[in-house]
Amino acid sequence: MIVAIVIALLAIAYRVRMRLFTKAEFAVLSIFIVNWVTIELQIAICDHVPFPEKRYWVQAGVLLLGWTAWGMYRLSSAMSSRFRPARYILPAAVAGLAVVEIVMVMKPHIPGSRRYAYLRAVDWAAEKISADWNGPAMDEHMGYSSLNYRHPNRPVVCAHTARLPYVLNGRRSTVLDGDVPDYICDEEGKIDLAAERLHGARYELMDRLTVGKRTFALYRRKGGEPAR
Amino acid sequence: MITADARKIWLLAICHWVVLAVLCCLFYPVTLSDSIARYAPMADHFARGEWAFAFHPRFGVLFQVLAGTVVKLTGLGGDNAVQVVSIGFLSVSAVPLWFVVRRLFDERIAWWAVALMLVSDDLSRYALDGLRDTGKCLGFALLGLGVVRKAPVWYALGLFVLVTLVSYGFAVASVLLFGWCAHWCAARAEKPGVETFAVPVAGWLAGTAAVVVLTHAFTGYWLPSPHYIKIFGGAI
Repeated sequence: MIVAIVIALLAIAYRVRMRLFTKAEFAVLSIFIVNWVTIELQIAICDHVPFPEKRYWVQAGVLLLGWTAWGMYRLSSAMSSRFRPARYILPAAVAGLAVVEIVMVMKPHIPGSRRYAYLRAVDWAAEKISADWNGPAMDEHMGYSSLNYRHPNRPVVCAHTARLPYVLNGRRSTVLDGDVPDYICDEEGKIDLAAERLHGARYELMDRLTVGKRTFALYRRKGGEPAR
Repeated sequence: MITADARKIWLLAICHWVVLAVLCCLFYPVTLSDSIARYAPMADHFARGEWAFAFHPRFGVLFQVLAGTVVKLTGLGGDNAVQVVSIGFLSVSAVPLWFVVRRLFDERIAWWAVALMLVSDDLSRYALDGLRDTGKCLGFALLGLGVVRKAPVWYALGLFVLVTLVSYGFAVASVLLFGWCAHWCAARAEKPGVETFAVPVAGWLAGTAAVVVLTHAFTGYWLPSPHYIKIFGGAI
């Protein structure tokens, strides 16, 4: 999308220079600019972050895609008189991105990828935890945090991906909430059972799983309900 | 909006929505923490009528309401529901974007612009991961449509989407509303009617009322988002 926005800005500069730029175009462009400036100011003031992540502002870039398409179309038309295949720049770009999209969808099913290993570990750990958990389905009291969304589902799981607590109908353990996990599942070497955020709770190993080059370990908390 | 020449773009949008949503539900499990630890449980709680856990003032109202409704109506899990709604936002954005680009350039460029949007790597990833960010594409496309057609209804809808979707959208929508009103005040020669001002203000007010009531219910502050408590909390 950033590339598309850069092409659009170049196309706009060209249109301004050639006096092709209209008032309606300016009005549409101004929406993009207002969004970027307002988001930038809010993030800088409220969150003290100098530049916002792309995710916060890039959606307004859809308004610039007209210039992107026009710019690429003009470029390919201009080049195709000398170099005939240049007329396929735009179709090739769209086709290439469509292929990337399909690959993205299928990526979790490509053995050897990190995502594949993580999802296999989710299925494995979910089965183990479901068979093991005999605690409550929900906490009775759940405090509100203005920083983070909280819900009372149990078990509390600290895992390599937040999908594991979700498929268990439990909740993710986060540092912000100060939750003591009922279970911990992650790649071996990434688990620190002495971490401060575990509040001294003790854990025992339930099982291990190896997927490709990765070995996952699953721990459960020893003893009764933690003090919350 | 459904005229003869608009049927094709609606058809493309719906096909894109259906095909990608089915592919995602079958092959693409959500793992991104924002979606799977927040929006998906919110949608599940919404479908079960557990309102206290269906919303959070940091995350607006629109996305949770739509995803929760999808869970309730279809029986899908919250993880698939957020994907369906997010992909739907992206797909439907194609329609107003097509009209905007056709007005600024021509029909051929409009088709290419829509194609670029639907296969954009960033936007596709947001849609596949079930993020609400694609809703902003719809909001901005509607705002663009309102501007090029000088149609307050589309502009109002765009403002409503922005305000109710993301907490940072309130300030963006407010500035854009001010810009719209200032433009039409300056363009008296075009004799804007009352609805030119009233409809966008109503759209903005409706969205603002929803998020302010939500923030007040959770925090006690009459503000559109907890983000503003640091700045305005002392004054309210």
